[in-house]
Amino acid sequence: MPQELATRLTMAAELHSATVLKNCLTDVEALGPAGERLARHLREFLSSYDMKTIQRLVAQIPAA
Amino acid sequence: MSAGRILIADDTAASLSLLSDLLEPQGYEILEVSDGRAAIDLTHRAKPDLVLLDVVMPRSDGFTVCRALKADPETSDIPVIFITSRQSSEDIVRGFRLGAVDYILKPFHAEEVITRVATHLKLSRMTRELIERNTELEEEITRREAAESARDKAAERLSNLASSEAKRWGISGFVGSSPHLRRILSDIGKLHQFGKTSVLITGESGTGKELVARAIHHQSPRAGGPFIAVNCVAIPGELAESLFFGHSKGAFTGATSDRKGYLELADGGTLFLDEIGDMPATLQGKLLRVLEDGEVTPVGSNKPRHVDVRVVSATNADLPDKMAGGGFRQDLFFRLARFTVRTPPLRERREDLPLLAAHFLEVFSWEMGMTAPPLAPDALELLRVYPFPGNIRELKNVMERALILSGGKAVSRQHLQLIQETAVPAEITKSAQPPSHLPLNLDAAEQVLIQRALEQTAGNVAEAARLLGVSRSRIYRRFPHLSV
Repeated sequence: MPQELATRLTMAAELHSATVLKNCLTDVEALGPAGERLARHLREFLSSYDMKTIQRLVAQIPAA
Repeated sequence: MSAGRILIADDTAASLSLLSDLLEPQGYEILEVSDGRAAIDLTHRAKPDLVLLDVVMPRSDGFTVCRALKADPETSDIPVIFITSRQSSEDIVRGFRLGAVDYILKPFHAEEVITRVATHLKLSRMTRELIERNTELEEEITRREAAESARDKAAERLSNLASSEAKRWGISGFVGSSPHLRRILSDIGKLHQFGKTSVLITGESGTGKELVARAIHHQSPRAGGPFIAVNCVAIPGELAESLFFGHSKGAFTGATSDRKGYLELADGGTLFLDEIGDMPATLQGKLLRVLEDGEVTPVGSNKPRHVDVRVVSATNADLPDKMAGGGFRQDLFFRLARFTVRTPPLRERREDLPLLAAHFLEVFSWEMGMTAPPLAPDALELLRVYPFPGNIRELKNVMERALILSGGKAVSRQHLQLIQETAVPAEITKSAQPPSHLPLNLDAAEQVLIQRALEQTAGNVAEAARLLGVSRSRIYRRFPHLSV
């Protein structure tokens, strides 16, 4: 995942910004099949407002 | 860029999602939390433009959150809207009392929520802009008040300065009662009505020409304007034009900015040209043109500027003689000498001498912080016969020096250091010697002094009285036979 996208995802999660997170997840989906799987996974946490898990998962993804 | 950032705090996922789906298409950025404490924390961190609060939530209900946000100056301005299914009047009233701007009941109409949110965001933005503008205005008012205060103080100082200048340089500054002085004062008084008339003051050096010029200025309607004194002898030829007419930036090497000349500086007031007889010939023609046109063109500029200046000039030179020799323009002379005032030499107004000497003693004593001492008769006698080639200026210097030498005690002859002592008649010098053989008894000493004065004046009582500085009746009282 591009570093810039990871940073945006982390900041959006920190601020509980559902709007920005949704936009970011659209960008993640565009990365390919792996991205689509990741976006689907992260949306589940977004729907339950679990922002901390989103931050933790994004932090674990190696930067491209 | 979003139309605004809205924080929605609601523990019901469906409700949160519904509101989010409603508001996001309007261009808002939506922040979502599902409990009260998270709402407080996020409001501090994210500073949203508006908060939509459910009432019933875990970890602090909506009312507690609202109270906390309104209690904190950092978040108190953020509008809070309750959106809840609690419909009791008590809850509604409580919500408003805690500082909420609105209260929306569930189930809500989509348009209603959109409209209310947009309205409160607009109100909030306008309120914020109003507060900012108000702060700017208050700062502007403070700056203006400071500037007005400084201006008032400056005006007060200027007024004090102007009145003290008028007091110092006005007619009250003249000392004496001679016919010569009365004529000068009368001339100054006549000029009062003619504030534009050029005046030429003639007289020897030290006769008070500048004092007369200043008095003309301060007795005229121009008294509130500037008085610019220029000594024509002290002006370097190459700078004369620039100094008189000013220059514009870049007119010559060193002209780094626009500068006003004497004529513009004196606009609305008086330009005093001392030693006008020594004005360079090249400048005479240009000055004449300015005086005729009332317009001055700075060096390096082609834009003439109107000036309203009265010119008072002074000279100790014989201008008609200079004109005859081609050293002074006749047309300029007639332009400057519309009215002429002559300041007589001190030797022509000796009757003013005692008053002038006492005046200078008083002025210098005041400056030195002492009481003015008296002027002894022998000193006055010497002053009366001294020719004073340096006129009043010389008298002024003599009195200052005498005051210092006397140490504040009575100023006597020995304290006067006259430059041309040889010009004093010998008999005066002789008679003024300290009489070592005088008796110490005052009555007897007076008798001896009167006798000596009568001897010296060959029995002329009036002359003897003048020498002694007493009245004739005093001599007659001593020597009654003289009156027979």
